[in-house]
Amino acid sequence: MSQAPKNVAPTTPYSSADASIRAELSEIDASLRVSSLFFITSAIFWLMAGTILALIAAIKLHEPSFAAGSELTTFGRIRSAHMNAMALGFGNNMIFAVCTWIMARLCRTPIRHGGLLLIAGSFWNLGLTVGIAGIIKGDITSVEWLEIPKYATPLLAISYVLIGVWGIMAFRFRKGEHVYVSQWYFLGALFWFPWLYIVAQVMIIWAPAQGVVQSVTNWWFAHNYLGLWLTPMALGTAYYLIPKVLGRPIYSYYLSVLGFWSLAIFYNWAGVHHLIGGPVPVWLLSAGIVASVMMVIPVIVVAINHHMTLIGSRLNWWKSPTLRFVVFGAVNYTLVSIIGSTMALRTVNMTTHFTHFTVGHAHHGVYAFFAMIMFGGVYYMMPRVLNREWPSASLIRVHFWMCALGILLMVFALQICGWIQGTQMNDAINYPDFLQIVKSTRPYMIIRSISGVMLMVGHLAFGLNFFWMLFSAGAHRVQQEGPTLLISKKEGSKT
Amino acid sequence: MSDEQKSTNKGNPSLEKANMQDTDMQDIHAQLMREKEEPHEGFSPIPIFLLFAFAALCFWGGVYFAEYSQEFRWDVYDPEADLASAAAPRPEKPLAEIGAKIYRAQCIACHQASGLGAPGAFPPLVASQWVLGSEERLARILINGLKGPVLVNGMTYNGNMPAFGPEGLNLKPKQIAAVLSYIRQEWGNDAPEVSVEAMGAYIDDYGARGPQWTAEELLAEFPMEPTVKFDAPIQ
Repeated sequence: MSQAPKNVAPTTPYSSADASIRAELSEIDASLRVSSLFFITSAIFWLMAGTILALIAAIKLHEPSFAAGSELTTFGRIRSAHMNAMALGFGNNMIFAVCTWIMARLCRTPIRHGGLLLIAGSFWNLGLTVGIAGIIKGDITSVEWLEIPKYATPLLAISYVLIGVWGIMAFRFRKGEHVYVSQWYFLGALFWFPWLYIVAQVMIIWAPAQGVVQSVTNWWFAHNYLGLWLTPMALGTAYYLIPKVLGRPIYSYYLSVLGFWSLAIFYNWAGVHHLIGGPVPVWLLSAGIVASVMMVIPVIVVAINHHMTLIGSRLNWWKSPTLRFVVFGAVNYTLVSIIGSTMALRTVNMTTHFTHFTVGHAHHGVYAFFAMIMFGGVYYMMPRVLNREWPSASLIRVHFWMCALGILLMVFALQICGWIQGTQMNDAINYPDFLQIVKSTRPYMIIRSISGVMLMVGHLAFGLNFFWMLFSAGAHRVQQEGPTLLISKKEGSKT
Repeated sequence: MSDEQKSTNKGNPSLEKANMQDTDMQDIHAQLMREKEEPHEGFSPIPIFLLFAFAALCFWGGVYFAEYSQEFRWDVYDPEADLASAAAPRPEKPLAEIGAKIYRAQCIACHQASGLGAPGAFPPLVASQWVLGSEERLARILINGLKGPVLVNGMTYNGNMPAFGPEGLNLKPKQIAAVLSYIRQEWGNDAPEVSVEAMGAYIDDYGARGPQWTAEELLAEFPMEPTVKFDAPIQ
């Protein structure tokens, strides 16, 4: 069937064609065109809204009088609105777009009834809009990561289930025997998320459990939102894109298996490390600490697997917008996870708990790892879904550098600040004045706001490039041979 | 290939499938055609040192968990808590201390906090040979009570001491022993404490006796010891 011998290295773009598979892929891309455009557009809007909310919250930390005129813009509400806009608005819409697309491709089955996906997606965004408006209005719950008021959450749960079912149906009607590692992660996460969300809603909001069980459930949910939802989705995406763009196999199937199952086993336990020092039975905390440290196993395994796949192709991943983002995300996955395991140790936690260190860590994981890989996914996906090229390599470069440097600056500022803050708060003899400690964080908070502005610039470049591509109806760049690459145009057009 | 042809045919995958000529496909679907093949896995073995490292990590996890699991108790919140010493039996309170509490609850109304009692009715406990002398005589008074006149430190009292044994208030041997130890060691009194075992034996012997004792009955069996301090005539 294949028209080119398989063992020919794909030096020219058209050489390794297997025409029938490619026709199938094209059909799949087309079946997801409308829904993925809808999800990515929504994601970009939430990204913008979330960034603005983030900037307001960040500025308030060094200029408390900023936007202090109304209860609508108090720190507590703005911060929570920011977090939900990013995690549920940007994060989930990105996942719905990129991961269903990869899932459908790997299962080699077009998504059926794509129109219904749109309806479910509309409900998701509607529910979220109501929920975030509710947060700003003052109906916020007091539970971190579950701030969305009661009247909006059922809508979110139902529309999630509908969207999740599409992913699972794609898997159910897959072609081919082999199930690729990305599919394991996606399928696992598609089941894990509703389990987490529904259990947390019931045990905390609808029929609250008694006493500390509530806070244990709270952090079980909050940490697993990152670990069993965002992480597997981003890892699955990286596992698809790295070998896909480079045209070489993933280094080791065995490492993939070990990485997947050790993540599935250990992550679920780790969340209680947020309660170290709290009135929680100490064995529960110790179990969480051990599991957090054991997370080193899946992290190292994935790092080796990705590194060995990438090794020797530095030019290729630096040149490809997709891989530049994905590699940045994958490297930060390793870093953030090792830091996270360290933070779970009691002696370290004693300093980092209740400081900006944790805030830095959260942004490191969600942004430098998850969001960057998702950006990479969009850069790969959109040319195929739209049959167009990205209009501007410069805008992609701006997006990459602003976001990469911005997030690193933010993480460094917050973690250095947090460490100093924690050391001082633990030293009541030399630092008896709490307010003085708060004041001494101010320079770092200003740096954090600057990094937020950098991220904003990056996001604007991304949004501009996306809508330019979407609305310019293919009139531009028709002469372009090959993809939009990040190294000089001449060099790029050759490969 | 002209630019016009490229742009007109773009974006229609069903059209692409219809005339699936190699050159056409290349023109109309460049993004798809330049793709590398769908990803698959190689089968390089897991580096052996990694497995050793992970085994060591699991071992550490087990040791750490054993060290800080605190027997899976729900009520232990301190990772450093020393359960072994916490579980050891707490040192017993001295009998006299327990007795003080009982004295304040049961005896103080008549014998007073000072232990001096009230003239004519309630004899003093301070420096009284009834208290400091024979252990069994004192125990019997507690168990069965005492009525009729009694000479204490040269004064006669005619009161009515109720029973605290099984037929009275039914205090436990330990409680009676405690209160006796208390009155024998408080207010400058200085007599040995009454053991719980001895008290148990007295209760076994006299618990079911019935009527209260009289001073004569008791003194017939346990003659009053000579007193040094007060040198008072005894009967």
